[in-house]
Amino acid sequence: MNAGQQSARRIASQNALSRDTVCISCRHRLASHASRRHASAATAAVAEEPPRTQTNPSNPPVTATGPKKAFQLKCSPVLSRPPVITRELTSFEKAFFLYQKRLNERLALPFTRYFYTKKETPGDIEWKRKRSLRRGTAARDIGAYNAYDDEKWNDEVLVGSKLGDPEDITERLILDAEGKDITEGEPQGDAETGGETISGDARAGEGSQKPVAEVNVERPASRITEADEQNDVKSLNRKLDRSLYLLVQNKDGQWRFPEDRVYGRENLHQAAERILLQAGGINMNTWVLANHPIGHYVNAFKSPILSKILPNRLVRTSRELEQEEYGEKVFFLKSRILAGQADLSQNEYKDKDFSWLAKEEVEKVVSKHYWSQIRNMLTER
Amino acid sequence: MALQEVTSAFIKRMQSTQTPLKQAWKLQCLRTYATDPMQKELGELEESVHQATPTDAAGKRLSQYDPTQNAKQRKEQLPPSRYQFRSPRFYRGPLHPHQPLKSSDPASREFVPGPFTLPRLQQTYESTIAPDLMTLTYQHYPPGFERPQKGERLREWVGDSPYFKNRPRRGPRGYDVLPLLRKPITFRNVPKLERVTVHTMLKGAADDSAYLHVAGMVVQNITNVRVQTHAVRKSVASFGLRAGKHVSVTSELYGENMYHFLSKVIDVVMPKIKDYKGVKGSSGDSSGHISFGFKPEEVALFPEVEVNYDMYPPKMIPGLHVTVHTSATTDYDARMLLQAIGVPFYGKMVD
Amino acid sequence: MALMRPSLRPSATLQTPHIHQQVRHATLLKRPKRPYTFTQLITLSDGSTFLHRTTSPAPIYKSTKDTKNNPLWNPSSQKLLNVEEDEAGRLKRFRARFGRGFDVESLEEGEEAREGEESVPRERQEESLLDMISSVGQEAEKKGKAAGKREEAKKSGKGKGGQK
Repeated sequence: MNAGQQSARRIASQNALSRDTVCISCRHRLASHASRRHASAATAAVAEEPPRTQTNPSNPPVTATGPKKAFQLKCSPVLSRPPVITRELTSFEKAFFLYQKRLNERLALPFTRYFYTKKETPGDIEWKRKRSLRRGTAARDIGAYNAYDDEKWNDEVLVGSKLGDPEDITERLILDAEGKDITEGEPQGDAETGGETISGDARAGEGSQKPVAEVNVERPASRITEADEQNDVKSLNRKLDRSLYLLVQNKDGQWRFPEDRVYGRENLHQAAERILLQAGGINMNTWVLANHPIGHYVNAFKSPILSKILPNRLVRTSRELEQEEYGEKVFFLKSRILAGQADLSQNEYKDKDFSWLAKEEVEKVVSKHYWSQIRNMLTER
Repeated sequence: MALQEVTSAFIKRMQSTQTPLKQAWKLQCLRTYATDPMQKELGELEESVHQATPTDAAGKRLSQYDPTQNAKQRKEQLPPSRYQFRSPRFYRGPLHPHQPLKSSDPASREFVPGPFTLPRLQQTYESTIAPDLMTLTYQHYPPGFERPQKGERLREWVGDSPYFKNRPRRGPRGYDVLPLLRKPITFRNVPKLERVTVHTMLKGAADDSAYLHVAGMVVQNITNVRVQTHAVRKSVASFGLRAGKHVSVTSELYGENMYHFLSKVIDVVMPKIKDYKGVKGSSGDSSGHISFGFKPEEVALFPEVEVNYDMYPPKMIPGLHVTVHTSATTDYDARMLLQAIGVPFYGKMVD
Repeated sequence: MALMRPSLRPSATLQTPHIHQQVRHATLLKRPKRPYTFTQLITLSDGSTFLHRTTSPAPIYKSTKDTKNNPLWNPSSQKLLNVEEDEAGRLKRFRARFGRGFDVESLEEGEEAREGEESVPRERQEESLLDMISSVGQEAEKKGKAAGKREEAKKSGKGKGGQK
């Protein structure tokens, strides 16, 4: 038995891993691991211990008299609302998709019309009429472009054209469902309509047909909501295509995720649920995803603070405690809001204000140090 | 949408900034969001640069510019280029002077265009489901912890026999195949959808090929992919199967087609099924592939079949098997991914 | 990420052998066959829309029953649980003929009057029930097929979710 193995066993048996250096679950795992005679891991863990304690040289042995010296152990639920709608495509993506669709026109098998409408039925006549307005193309979202006629080379759109925008595609589909000409809105002489001749043909063709029945299809709701226009940061209807995070302004005026100490023997998950309740009220349906944190924030105080911690009424195991605190360690737990809205009227931390912010807005309100430690756990969209 | 916007904006940024190329690239690739006031303003600014600020002459020139008209008014047609490369119809080996193009080249015979859209399900997966799955499946190990090395799972040949030397090792006791190992999930191996296989086997096809044709049309229409037919390999007299007869149809969906198909199945088809309970919890092959099925009357609920239901012989619409292949190595993870996407499961969950 | 590389496509990719040697045969490079696809707008029952690619030529697909109004996907929604399925209109026709007395009876049996439903005082319930029975009897006498009617009445209780 080598020395490393022995030391690991000793540590495990004497429970000598001090409480301040290794978390409970890690200690448990280390202990059980050492007893299983896989010593390499435990020794490695022990070898890593010294630098941790060295970062806080003023941390005295546990046996010292007087108030306990420690860090503030805090839990902070990162409550977020996931994106509700799809994101806006970049101009390159729009151009690329349109290009691929026009390529597809000549590479895919032709549309089998008679599989869907029988010959010389009203549906078939209507289909032919609409298709002739699109220069014989079956697709409705690529403009008036036919990959097989003489002008098939003219497959690029001009500067400022909206063709290929998802909004434009939606509008064309709805117009088509209403029985209207989908190339109508395009200006005369535009490349998409193939110049005046085609537009003229289309007009004439339409004039000779009987007017189609008025069908009004409901347009999809706007991607930009009222809350967006008013920039109402308290609303969850803002920025529907982004993740929004709940930030609160604490009693010192700092913007942070809601946070509180961990009391008694509660774990981080329980603490996160309690904090959401005590900070945001009961009118929120939330889900704390996991038991482990997704990030942490460490802040050392300039001078230690002697603080007296009163027991929390919601945590039965919490006791009154006095300790000298050298800094704070905040662990962030990921959580999602499923329904409801935050309400600070029942807030127990004297928070002044709250807001739902996207990632780049979070950067603007929080302190630089805080941002540097939370930025990587927030999703980009 | 015109790509010129992009290039001109890019050039402008390049000129205005003395920062290195990387910076400019980063600026260019900043995503714009519809609800982003800053970006919105920027976009309007660019628009105005293009359309309003140029002098009237330039604007007029733009509005009058019409490539087809120009081409028609040209007195002499442009000469055709001297040499046009044409990808050959046949591949005649690597030493042949006339080599076919790569399949990614648009001029290649094998080119498949696409993608045409950015599917909704894919966006949801990337923005919400993948980060959540990573958080949910994360396993914490203390710093410095090394996972215990598992012993070799294949058995050595132990003995004096000279034939044991370099002999491939034996499989484990009690298994035919090695079950997949589950690696801890990190940001590199979050379970994701890899492909979907839609399969249907038609009993009647051995006698009447019409079943095969109808099933092929149904599967092609609901999946957007041309089907592949499969022949019986071995005769089974009790099932009435003879070797060489084509009796089944599959289509494999990847990427865009897969996302569109799954979101259609989950959002539209499954809720319409009468008394639908969900997918059986015991489904799965214990290596991250989960299957479920649709009966013929449920297949008729697909929007693509609904739109021209009369065109199909009603008795011939087949039932389907759908297999979702995920990159997860256990059924537990695969099921979690599918549940996040919206597939309901019922009964006892078997991993 | 958006522009996926076309590597995952089911194309018959050329397997270039590592050992370059002349072959005498020629392999036909087939053009991949793909059905014509349209862009379709799907409108779900709550008004949300999305675009997808499909072989169907219909420009818009409007769904009446989907994840937004199915209780299986919305297990906590009381509103959806109370919605009874009456697609064929049989319940409606039954009620037009025999009134709503049987609804209350079935509610009492199940003992789960959900919120949002009016509860009828007990005496009035019995009254209405008696009315119902007598009227059913009369009608049955007229037409001479009481048994079938009663069975239908039993089947279509509200608590049983309007089975067919």
